[in-house]
Amino acid sequence: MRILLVEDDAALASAVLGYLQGKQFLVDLATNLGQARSMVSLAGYSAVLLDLNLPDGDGLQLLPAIQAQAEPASVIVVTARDQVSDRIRGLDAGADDYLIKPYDPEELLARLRAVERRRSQQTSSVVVRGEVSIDLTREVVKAKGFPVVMTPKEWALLRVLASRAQQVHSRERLLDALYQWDDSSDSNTLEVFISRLRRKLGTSLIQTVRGIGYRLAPP
Amino acid sequence: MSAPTPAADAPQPSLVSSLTRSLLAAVVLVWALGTVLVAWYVNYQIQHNFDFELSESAHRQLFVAPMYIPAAGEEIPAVMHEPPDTVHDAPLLLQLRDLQGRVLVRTAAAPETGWTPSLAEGFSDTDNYRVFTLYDPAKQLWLQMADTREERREASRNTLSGLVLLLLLILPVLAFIIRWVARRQLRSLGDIQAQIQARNGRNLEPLRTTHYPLELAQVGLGVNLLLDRLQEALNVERSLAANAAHELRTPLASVRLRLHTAIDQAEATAAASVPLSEAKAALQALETLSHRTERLLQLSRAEAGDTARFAPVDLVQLAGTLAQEFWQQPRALKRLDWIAPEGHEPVWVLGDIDSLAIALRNLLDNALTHTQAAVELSVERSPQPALVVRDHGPGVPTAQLPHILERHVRADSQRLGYGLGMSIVGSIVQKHGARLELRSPLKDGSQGLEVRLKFAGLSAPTAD
Repeated sequence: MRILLVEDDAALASAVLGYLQGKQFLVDLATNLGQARSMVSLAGYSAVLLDLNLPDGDGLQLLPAIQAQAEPASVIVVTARDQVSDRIRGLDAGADDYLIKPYDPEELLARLRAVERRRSQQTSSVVVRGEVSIDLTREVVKAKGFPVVMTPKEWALLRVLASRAQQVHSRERLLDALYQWDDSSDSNTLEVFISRLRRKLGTSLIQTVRGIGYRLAPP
Repeated sequence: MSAPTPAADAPQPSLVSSLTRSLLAAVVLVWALGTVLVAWYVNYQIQHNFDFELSESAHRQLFVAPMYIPAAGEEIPAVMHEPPDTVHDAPLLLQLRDLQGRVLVRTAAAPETGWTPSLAEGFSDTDNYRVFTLYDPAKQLWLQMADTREERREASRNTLSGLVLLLLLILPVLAFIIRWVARRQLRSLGDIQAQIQARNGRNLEPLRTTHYPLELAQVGLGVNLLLDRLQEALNVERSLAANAAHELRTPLASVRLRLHTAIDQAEATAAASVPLSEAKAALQALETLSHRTERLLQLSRAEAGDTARFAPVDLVQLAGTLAQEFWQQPRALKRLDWIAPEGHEPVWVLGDIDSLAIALRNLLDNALTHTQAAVELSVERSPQPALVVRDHGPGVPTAQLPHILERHVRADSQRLGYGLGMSIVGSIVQKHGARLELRSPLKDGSQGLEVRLKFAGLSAPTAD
């Protein structure tokens, strides 16, 4: 997997470069926007680690050049912790993920592995029911076009329901999905989370199959 | 600290001279208006007196003048001799005329021809004279007496110039008095200015305001309140600066020491790698340093956050983004729950999203750090937009609740940041005109703490 690192701080750049090369990634470095722009069009990158404060402009200006590629790289925006506005701006502009500076190398690695995993799944798997779309690959849920933030437990449940959308899922299987997040899960917990999913995504999305369990409503 | 000085090319007007100028201008204007009215009235009285005198002496002369009527065949008009008068320098002007209008008798100063072509009783005016005409039906004679108009004008002129002269003499005296009174009254202003000027970082004593007039005493009181707050801020800043140096240097020193030890050990044993324990300890110290730096940055950001940057912020997006940020930490993954409001529409408030994120992050961080229980983050749409962080930990004793927001640097724990987090939240909330409500224990339990940030609603986003 080939990665473009866009970072103007030499010390941080060499540290990240050294770390990622140690983990067997192919990494190129661009220290400014102009350099990054020409590199994006030359090599096919899988991921771009994008710092926003660059000497010759805002890192987000690079996004159009990346998206113009036949196979656009996944963009991970790197922002300071207290700049939530930058993070949201980045995601709105089409970035795939963000990292908060100063970040743990393990965290960086986890994000890159996720990019790798997503890219290896050739077909995108988006389940659409009415006004709700569930993107299983990118782990994004939208309702009426607005992104809906799911808690890890809600997502664990929804993923099971949506990954085999035609199937009826037994209560035991769904409880198993929750169990990894909460050892004290009982059947009441399942009802609570089903009702929370219905509240967030609409009451008709999940159907109760009496005596067996739940399933996603047919399209 | 230097006092601001007015620009050299634009001198500031003094309060005393502008007060004196405007008061004096007002007095002169009123005085001038009064003088015009008085002059008019005095002139009216003068004319009235002259007329009265004229008619009086006409009646008297009616007995005297006929005695000078010349006998038939003598030349007319005869000249009447007036008695010598040492008091009045103006000569008597008199004509005695018959029914045909011929002048029979005149005084030496009166003309030979009649003053008026026709004869009628009462006052009449010619170009140079004011004439009073009287008819004696018994003798069938007309008597006319006159004043020169010039004489009357002179009398008016003398009176008026006297009035104006008096005004001109009094004005400088008046100006002096006004200026003196203004200076005297404004002396306390200079005094309070001197007092304020004497205040600085080392001297923030309250001003003495007891001997000032009410308005100035209130100004002094306001300044004293400001000084109070300044003193408090300075105290915190000083102890922060003192602690910050210590708090930041300690982990730095620790990192350096650990790395030196590691290198020394590696060199001593000729090993190719540094000991794991030293590297881990250095990393731990760096993480402490990161955390403390973060708090200091937050503090400066919260203090500097200005309302000019305010824009519509969607609380749902803000809370969702922060929940995702926290789920990246293992401690929050299982404990932090995010409960969105009904419906998918955003919940708009006006604010600075980065400052609000700092506040919310501190609240979540507190809840996750100080309790081991579940933490709920939720956004409420009505009755007014609110961010709510609820934990199911032991809660806070009621007596301590009001003190949670007070800024203090915990001297006992010597831990920077501890005690600052909620004060940062407090100042961000204040800048946003929001309200912070604390409740412990929770409504439906015997423990827990709920922090609610209530905002003024924003009906529709104005962002483009």
